Amino acid sequence: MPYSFLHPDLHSIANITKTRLEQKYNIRITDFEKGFESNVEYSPTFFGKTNSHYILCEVSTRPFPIQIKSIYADIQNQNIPVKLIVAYPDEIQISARDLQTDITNAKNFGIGLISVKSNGTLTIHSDPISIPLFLPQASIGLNTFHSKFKHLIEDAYSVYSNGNPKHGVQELGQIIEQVIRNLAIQARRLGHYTNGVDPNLPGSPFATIIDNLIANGIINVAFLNRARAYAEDRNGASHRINSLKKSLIQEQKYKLDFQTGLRILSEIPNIFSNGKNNFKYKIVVI
Amino acid sequence: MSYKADLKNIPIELIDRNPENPRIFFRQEEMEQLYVSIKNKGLLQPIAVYKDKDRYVILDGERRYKTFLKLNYPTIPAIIQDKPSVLDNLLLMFNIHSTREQWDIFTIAMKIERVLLLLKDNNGKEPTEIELSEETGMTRGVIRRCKMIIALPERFKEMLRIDLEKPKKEQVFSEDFFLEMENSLRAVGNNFPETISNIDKVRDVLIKKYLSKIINNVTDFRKLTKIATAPNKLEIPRSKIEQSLNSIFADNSISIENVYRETVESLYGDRVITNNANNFLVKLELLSKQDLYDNDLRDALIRIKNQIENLIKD
Repeated sequence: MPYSFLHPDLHSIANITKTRLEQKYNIRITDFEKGFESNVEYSPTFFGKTNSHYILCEVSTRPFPIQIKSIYADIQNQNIPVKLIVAYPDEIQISARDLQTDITNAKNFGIGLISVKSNGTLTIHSDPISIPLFLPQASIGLNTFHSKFKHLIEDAYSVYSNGNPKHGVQELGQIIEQVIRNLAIQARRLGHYTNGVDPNLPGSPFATIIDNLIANGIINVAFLNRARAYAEDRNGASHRINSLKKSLIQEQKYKLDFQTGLRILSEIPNIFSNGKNNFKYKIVVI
Repeated sequence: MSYKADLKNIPIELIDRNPENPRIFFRQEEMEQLYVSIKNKGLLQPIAVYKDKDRYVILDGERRYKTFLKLNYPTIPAIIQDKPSVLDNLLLMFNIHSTREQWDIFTIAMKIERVLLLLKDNNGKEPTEIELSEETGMTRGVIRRCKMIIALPERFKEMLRIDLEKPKKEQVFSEDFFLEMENSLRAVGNNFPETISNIDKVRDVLIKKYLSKIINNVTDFRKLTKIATAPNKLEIPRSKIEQSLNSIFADNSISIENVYRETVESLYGDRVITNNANNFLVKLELLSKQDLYDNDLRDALIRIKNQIENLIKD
C-alpha cells in the first residue's frame, strides 16, 4: 500500500485517477506521497513527469481542500512547471453550495478537477493549467477594457487558458494590429498621415505602417514602439520543449506576452484620444 | 518506568512506525487540518521516539510524522527516549494512543491478548481484570468486551480483521456484531445448552442470516437473549422456547425478530405493564387525601380510574 497519509476510503479514487492520468499524459507514475522538489513543502498523493511538466495529483474528500491554496502558492513561488489536479469522490459529503464554491475556487487557480464515482466511473471536469502560465481571470480586469475589444480579449483569454497560450497571445496581437491599422486608415483619410505606405492595402507590412505613423507624429511614439515590438515578438519561431527548464522559460514568456498585450490594449483609449494636434481617433476593430 | 530524554532534529527517513501501534487511519479532513496547522504554526510538540540500532521508532506522534512526510520536511524535532522493553512498549502504546485515538475494540483486544501473556510471563500469574485495567488504562467493561473477542474462534477473528481493514462503507461486520452475538449465545448456553451443542455451526447460520439480511440489525441479538431467558421470567413452556431457538439456529429464513414477535413479545409487554402497575400502586398507597388538592394529579387519577373501569367492564 503506497499511501500512509491518504485515508483508505480514498485509495480506490487515487488508483483509478492514477491509471487515467498515466494514459492521458503518456507517463508512468511510480511516486506516491513523496516530495517532487526538495524546496517545495509538499508531497502530492502521487506525481509523474512529462517532458515539459510535473503532473501532481492530490486526492481529497473535496475539490478544494484546505491545504491546496498554500500548496499552490509554494509551487508558484518556486517557479516550477506544474499542473496540479485534485481528485475527489463523486458522492461528496459536503453541501451543494460548498461544492460549487470549491469548484469555482479550484478553477480560479487553474487546478484540474477529477471526480470518481463509487462504481469507478471517472469524470474530468477541467484540465489543469500550468502554474507558471496561469493568469487568474480576476487579474485580467476584463471590465476595464474598451467595449469594442472586450469580447475579443475574453476569447483570447479562453484560448490562452485552455491549453494554447501561444495562440492566446497571437489573438491579442491581432486585436492590437487591427486597431492600429484602422488608426492609420483614419489618419490617412483625415490628411494626418501623408507619407508612407497605404494602410488600406492588405499586404502593407504592419511594422512599416507603424514606422509611418511615427514619422507622421500621429500618436504617442513610445506606445507605437511597444506595439511594434509586441507584433514582432509574437511572430517569432517557437522551440521544441524537452525539459522542465525550457518549458518554464517559455511559459513565463507567454504569460509576460499576454500581460504585455493586455497592457497595450488598455492604453489604447487614452492614447487614441490624444492624437496629433489633440485629435481624437476612433477605436475600430476591423 | 523512568526515561532519559534528549530533544533532537532527526532525519525523517531514519524513522519507523512503532510495530505495536496498529495502523490507524485518521479522517482525511483531520490530517489536512494538521497539515495546515503545522505549515502555518510549526510543530508545537515534538514527537517521541526511541533509538533502535541506527534507526528511530515512534512512541508518540505518528500523525505528526505522517504530516511531516506530506510536507516534504527532511527532519522532525523528536524527544529521544530509552528503548522500552516489549511489555513497556506495548503498555506505552496503550496509554498514549488507545484513548486518544480511539482504537477499535478489535485492535485493543488483540493487544490485550499480548499484554495478558507478557504480564503472565513477568508476574507468574494471569492478571486480574482490575490489574489489567490499571496497567492499560482501559475500563473493566472494555476489558470484558475484549476478552469476548479474544475468545472467538480464530476464523471469526480473521473474518473481523479482514473486514476492519476495508474502507468503512465496505465493512459488513463490526465488533458490535460479534459482541452482541456472543452475549446472546452465552445467554442461550446458560438456559438451553442443548440448542447450541454445535456452537460454531450456530454462529455460521447466524452470520449467514445477517449477510442475507434475515437478521437486520445487531441489536436483534438482544431479542434472542430475551427469548432464551423467557422461561425464567414469564409463564411460557420451555419446550416452546427450545423449539423457537432451534428454528432460529436452523438454516432457513426464520428471523429472530419474527420468532420474538410470535413467542414472547406480548408476554414481555404484559410483564412491563404489570411491573409498572405494581410500582404505581405502591406510589398510590403513599398518597394522602391532602395530595388530591392538586387538580392536575386528581384529574390524572380520575382518568386512570375511568380507564381501568372501562377495561374491566369490557
